[in-house]
Amino acid sequence: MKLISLSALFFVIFLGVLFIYVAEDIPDFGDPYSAPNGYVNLDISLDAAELEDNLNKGVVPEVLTSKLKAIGFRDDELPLRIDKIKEGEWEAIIIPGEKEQDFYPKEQKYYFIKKDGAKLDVYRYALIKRYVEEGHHETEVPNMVTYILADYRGYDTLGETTVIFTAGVAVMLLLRRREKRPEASSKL
Amino acid sequence: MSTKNSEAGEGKERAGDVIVETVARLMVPFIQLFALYVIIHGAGGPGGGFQGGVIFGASFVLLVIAFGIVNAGDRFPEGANTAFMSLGVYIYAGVGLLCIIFSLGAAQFLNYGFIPLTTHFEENRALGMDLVEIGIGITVMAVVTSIFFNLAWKREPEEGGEEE
Amino acid sequence: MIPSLDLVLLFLIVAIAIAAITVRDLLSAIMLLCAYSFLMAVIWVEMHAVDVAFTEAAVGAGASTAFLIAALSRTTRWEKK
Repeated sequence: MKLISLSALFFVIFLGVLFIYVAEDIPDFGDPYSAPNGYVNLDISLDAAELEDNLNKGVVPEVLTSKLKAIGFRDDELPLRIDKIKEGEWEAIIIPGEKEQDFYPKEQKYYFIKKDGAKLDVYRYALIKRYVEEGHHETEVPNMVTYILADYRGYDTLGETTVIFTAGVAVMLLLRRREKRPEASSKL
Repeated sequence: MSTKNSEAGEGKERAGDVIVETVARLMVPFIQLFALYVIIHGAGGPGGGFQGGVIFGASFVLLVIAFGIVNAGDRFPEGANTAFMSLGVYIYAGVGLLCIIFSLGAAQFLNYGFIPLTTHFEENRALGMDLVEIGIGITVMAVVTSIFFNLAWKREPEEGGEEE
Repeated sequence: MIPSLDLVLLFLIVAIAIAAITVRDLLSAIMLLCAYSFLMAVIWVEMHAVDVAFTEAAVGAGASTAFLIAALSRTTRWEKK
């Protein structure tokens, strides 16, 4: 018993130190601009000096299109227009294919270009970005958790409900009494 | 759980506590009202089908704890409970199928916007989500209640020897 | 997120979890698990995850405690040495 208590105390101290060590690297909760919440880096770097004017005018550079094609994006995922967000940051708009326009909006912002020194870094917007920004207009439901769980991830929730149903059936099969109930002693 | 020992003996005499029974009888409607509020309000704030269903089931658990399982079991018919268990899943999957039916095969399964409840696509999606949450709530309520009833039931001691 | 409050809550949770597996009275262990779930719900609220906190409070502290007590009523209360 004493050994268990001592090792327990050791684990408490160890976990506390671990938490302090890890907590410094956690991004602020709900920060939409931290990397895993916002963007995926595509490992494309372009020359800033010659392309910046084109991007400001809204022209899609040929280099960007060919490099995106080399990565493996489909034809309907190539940028059609460039919008300037602010100095040094642009976003590229695509129009999704005919079949997806029932569900997706007609124009969709897809790539994010950021100036970093003399280079331009190209990012792909993460899917969660669209859910967070557009979900309220697309579903008229203010609660983000509800519209993601019940609408965008409807199949997941259907499966989850089926799992709960299966658990209930399993407990019923194992433990259900088979003899008759005795008479109730008094009315409720 | 004060009633458990007396009930486990022979199931005839049960020493009920007046305070516990009265408070439980008063509390149960309010708990159920709160559960319905949580289910319906899941779109606007924290809450949803799972939480509301569990709270609704907890009201029946409170009934069992206060009145003993024999009396509470009379109050809650078990055949209907079993039907409710599958009814919720049927509602969920049925709403998903309605989308396909109303759009004549154009929309995907569970694409709520195509159910013609209102004229707006977005509001259809919101209402479809509410229907789905109700389905989840019914299933979870029935499963929680059924698991607790099956777990808490004690076999009678005189016929306890028989297995199967 | 308040780091000092988080630290206190997490230390409490670890202490409660260890107490729950070392205690020999099973009813006490169930009650400790209930307290564990409740503190976990407080942490979720403190991380602004209100929906998860709601689920944790309803399922963890409410329903699963009732299930465990119901299961305990089919066995003995004291763990065998």
